[in-house]
Amino acid sequence: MNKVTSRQIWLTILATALFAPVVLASAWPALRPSWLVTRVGGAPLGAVLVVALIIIFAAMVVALAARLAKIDGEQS
Amino acid sequence: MNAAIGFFSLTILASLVVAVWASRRTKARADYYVAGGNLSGAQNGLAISGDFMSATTFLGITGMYFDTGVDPSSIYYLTPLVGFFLMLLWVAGPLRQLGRFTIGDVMTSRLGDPRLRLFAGMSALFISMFYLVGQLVGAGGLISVLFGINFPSAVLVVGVLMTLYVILGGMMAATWVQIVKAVLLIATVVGVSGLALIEAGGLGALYDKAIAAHPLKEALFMPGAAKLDLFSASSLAFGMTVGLLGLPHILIRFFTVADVKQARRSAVAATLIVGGVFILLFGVLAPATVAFVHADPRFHDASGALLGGGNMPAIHLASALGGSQLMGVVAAVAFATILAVVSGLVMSMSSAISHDIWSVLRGGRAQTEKAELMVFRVGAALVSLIAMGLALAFQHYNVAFLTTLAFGIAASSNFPILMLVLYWRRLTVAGALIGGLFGLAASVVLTVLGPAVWVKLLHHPAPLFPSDYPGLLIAPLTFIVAVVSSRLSSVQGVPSNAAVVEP
Repeated sequence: MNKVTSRQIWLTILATALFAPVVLASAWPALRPSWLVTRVGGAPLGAVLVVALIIIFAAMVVALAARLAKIDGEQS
Repeated sequence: MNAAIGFFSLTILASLVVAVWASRRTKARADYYVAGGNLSGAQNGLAISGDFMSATTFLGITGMYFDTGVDPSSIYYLTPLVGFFLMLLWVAGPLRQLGRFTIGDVMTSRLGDPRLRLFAGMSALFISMFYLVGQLVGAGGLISVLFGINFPSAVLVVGVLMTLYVILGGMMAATWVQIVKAVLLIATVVGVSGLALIEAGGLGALYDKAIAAHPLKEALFMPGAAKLDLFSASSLAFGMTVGLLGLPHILIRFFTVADVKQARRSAVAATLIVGGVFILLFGVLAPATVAFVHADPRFHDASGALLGGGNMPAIHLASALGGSQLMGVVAAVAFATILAVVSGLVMSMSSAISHDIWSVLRGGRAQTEKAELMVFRVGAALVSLIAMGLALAFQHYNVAFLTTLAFGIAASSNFPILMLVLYWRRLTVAGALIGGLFGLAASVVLTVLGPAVWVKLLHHPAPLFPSDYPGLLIAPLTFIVAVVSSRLSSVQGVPSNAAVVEP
């Protein structure tokens, strides 16, 4: 039987917290500041932030996999 | 148009060659179900990313961006990344440790009751069917635009081809067609994005052109255009994220690798590939469809509607940038994308029928490998026929939206039960069955009663459930029903003998 670890819980909370503003902004006008359309490197800041989040989540996957592989190595 | 037909024919021929090649390497049951179980993490990662980068991604979400900009397409582009992270964190390792061919194997290996196969099989059928219908709708629209044939004939062509692939080569064929297609799709997205940037004169100019072409102007890049309420937005995101952890055709891919280490490598490879492609789609290709197609009369009929329907902006973009030749290449790749994904979906449903549902219907009596494979092939033909019929009914829907329905059902039924199977010692057979069937039935019923089906398809004046995304409501209820049923049931599940696995 697998046990739920504190790492799983905290990382799930972190992922939710990172993603939540994008979701809430879709339905909540208060979370749509006008500076989201300010250009950064030619692209609107809102689009840049979404791309940054994609990169952050991909990095989190890589880091987590590396960490799990290290734990495997220590256990074996 | 001749170039388009040539590329199309070449694509179909190449994928048939792969299927025939795979059929020669497919002898035993393990070859059919899990491609022999010895793929490397990188190969499987490519196949998973291929499964994920479907008509939904390339045609549907791009079509959504074309209509309403970053909202809700940004949610669609982000959810798979969050989903892959949660998949690696919670299920990839334990799933590979417990499973053999199907999700039913995982459940029965933990709880020891074959009746769970019935739930796992039915759940796989419903989820994959919604997903499959979306892909067929995309394929039908694509072929209609390209060849000018009617939608039913186009769906028939795709349906016959996908059935052939699966009957011939099982998972081996589905996997290798998927890998080849993933490489083609990545090259296409990179190429078209590069061309769009060159044609527009840079990223800033591309966005300026998009703002000028779209009636929303700068609001194209602000959330809110889709006018989702708080529940629908949250439930859509929830369903798309955790639904990934319950999608049978993605989960069974973790059985095609040798061990937990390769399963994790698969998740990493898939994340990096999907992340890279999504950045290009969201940052360049989707805005380019607005910039080059939205205000161009060549791509609209007399009433102003987009030719071929709302799923076609990416195909029209190729035409705008490179004429009929580039359109032929892109349409052929999109078609290969759909064929590969639908083959994986039919694969998932056929294995659920032959390995899970059929074995329960036979009362657990043993059957020969040959007989099981015959049921597998008949199942493949049957589900293909049903999906083709449903695709005709849903032909005017956005592909990405149809896929959302599949994710919502997966998030409401498979995801909660799988999590309890993997992590809650007190789960009983009754708890898993009652909870799982509740989640499945409630999510399907609420989906039917929601605006998209009840009003748009069945033409009732008002929906009986106000949202198209019931996942956020049903998934917690499924957890509660499964836990309460487990507490109340006297029959305790057989404790798992499987080793504790780090996720």
